Amino acid sequence: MTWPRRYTPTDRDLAAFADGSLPAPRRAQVEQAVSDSPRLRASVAAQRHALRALDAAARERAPSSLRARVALAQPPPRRAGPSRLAATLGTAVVGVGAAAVVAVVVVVGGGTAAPTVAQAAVLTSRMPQTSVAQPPLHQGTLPGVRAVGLTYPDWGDHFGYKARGVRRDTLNGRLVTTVFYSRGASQVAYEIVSGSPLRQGGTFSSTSLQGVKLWSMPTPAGQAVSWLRDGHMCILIGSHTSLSELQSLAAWREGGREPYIRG
Amino acid sequence: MLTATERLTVVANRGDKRANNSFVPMTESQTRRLDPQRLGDHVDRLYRAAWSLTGSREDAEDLVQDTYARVLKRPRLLRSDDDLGYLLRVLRNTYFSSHRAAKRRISAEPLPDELDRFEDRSARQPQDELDARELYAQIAALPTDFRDALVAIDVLGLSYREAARALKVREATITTRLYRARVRLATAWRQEEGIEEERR
Repeated sequence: MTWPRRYTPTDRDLAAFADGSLPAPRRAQVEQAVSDSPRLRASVAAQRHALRALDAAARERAPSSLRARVALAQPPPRRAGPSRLAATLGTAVVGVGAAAVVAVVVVVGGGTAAPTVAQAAVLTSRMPQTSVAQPPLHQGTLPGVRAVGLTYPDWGDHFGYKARGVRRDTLNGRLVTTVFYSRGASQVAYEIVSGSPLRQGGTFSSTSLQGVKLWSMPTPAGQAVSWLRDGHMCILIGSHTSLSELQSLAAWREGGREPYIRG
Repeated sequence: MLTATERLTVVANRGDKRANNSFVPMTESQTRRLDPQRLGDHVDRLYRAAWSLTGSREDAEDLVQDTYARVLKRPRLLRSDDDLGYLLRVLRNTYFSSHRAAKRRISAEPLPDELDRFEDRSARQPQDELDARELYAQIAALPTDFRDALVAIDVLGLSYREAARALKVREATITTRLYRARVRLATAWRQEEGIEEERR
């Protein structure tokens, strides 16, 4: 004499049974099997426990700031104006002037060692987290944007660059605050890195302009010019911007030693 | 194995003009352009999916923004109505291609209050916020295959069939992974609840 084989639901049946997507004909069969087996009851209870937790988490809505950032992700109407520096990677024509600079491969490794200028430059491939309010007339600095107590310049009148957005990141434990500027197709990111000065992390050249010592090097994100302001490393990374213009921007108002005010 | 139409779709979506020119008349009845105006409808669900992948609210915002930037860069041709499935694929690709490597050394920081000019009416109570953070961190810690199935079906809300198509695996495989992902999540979440109870 042989006993009829007992039906055992598969994992797939149990998952669908728990979330209610199992078709009716199968449902009764699985329900019977579950009620007969403590092990299957426990399995279904675990499925439903996870689903209840997920239901609660499904109430999370995208913050308003993200909706604004998605709007920032819309491509600009002009073909020549990529939305961020990374978009021009590999195509940026960088004027390296008379300084002979050899491009190096920048290896960005893990660990918590102090970051380099080359590593910090990579952050400019990320997008702004929020837009920047337009500065009032004759202020000369961007309102509400500060990093380690330092202000950011409003270059609108003098150089024609408008601030588009700002973001903050932690890179190997250092806070990096980046303001993104644009003028037509030219884009410049201004980073201020908290803490002690950084190594360059590649082959660089140095020069002095208006009493400010500037270090220049090519990075995967674009040409970078760095200098010190109150002991903190400031870095400009440009795309579709010449090295000489980056150096002029960096050295403006003695590299920020003189307040960024109009006059 | 891809069909001729699918191969053409792939090449056309890469921006190949010749493929695009022959693609449009040949497949006019089978395809449609992704409507950028409708993408905003999916922000909430993509945000939750991104949070589940990254385990961090701030990184999720970056990931969603990058996903939209990638999708909006040029017109997209889809062969079905499944916008969400397509967006999930782009979200995952963006996560694997850029965010996962960067996450080891870089983390996004919330902006200070004076910079946060957007009123956030969706802000939640602190305890709910804490629970959500813990839950999404637990989802992010699941093995990749299990997590992907859970994100596609339970977080994003795709059907089993849509999820299988989006993740390019068999439906039977994805449901088994989903089952196991839920079991692991329930176990981890019960432990978390137990710890919470003890704290109280």
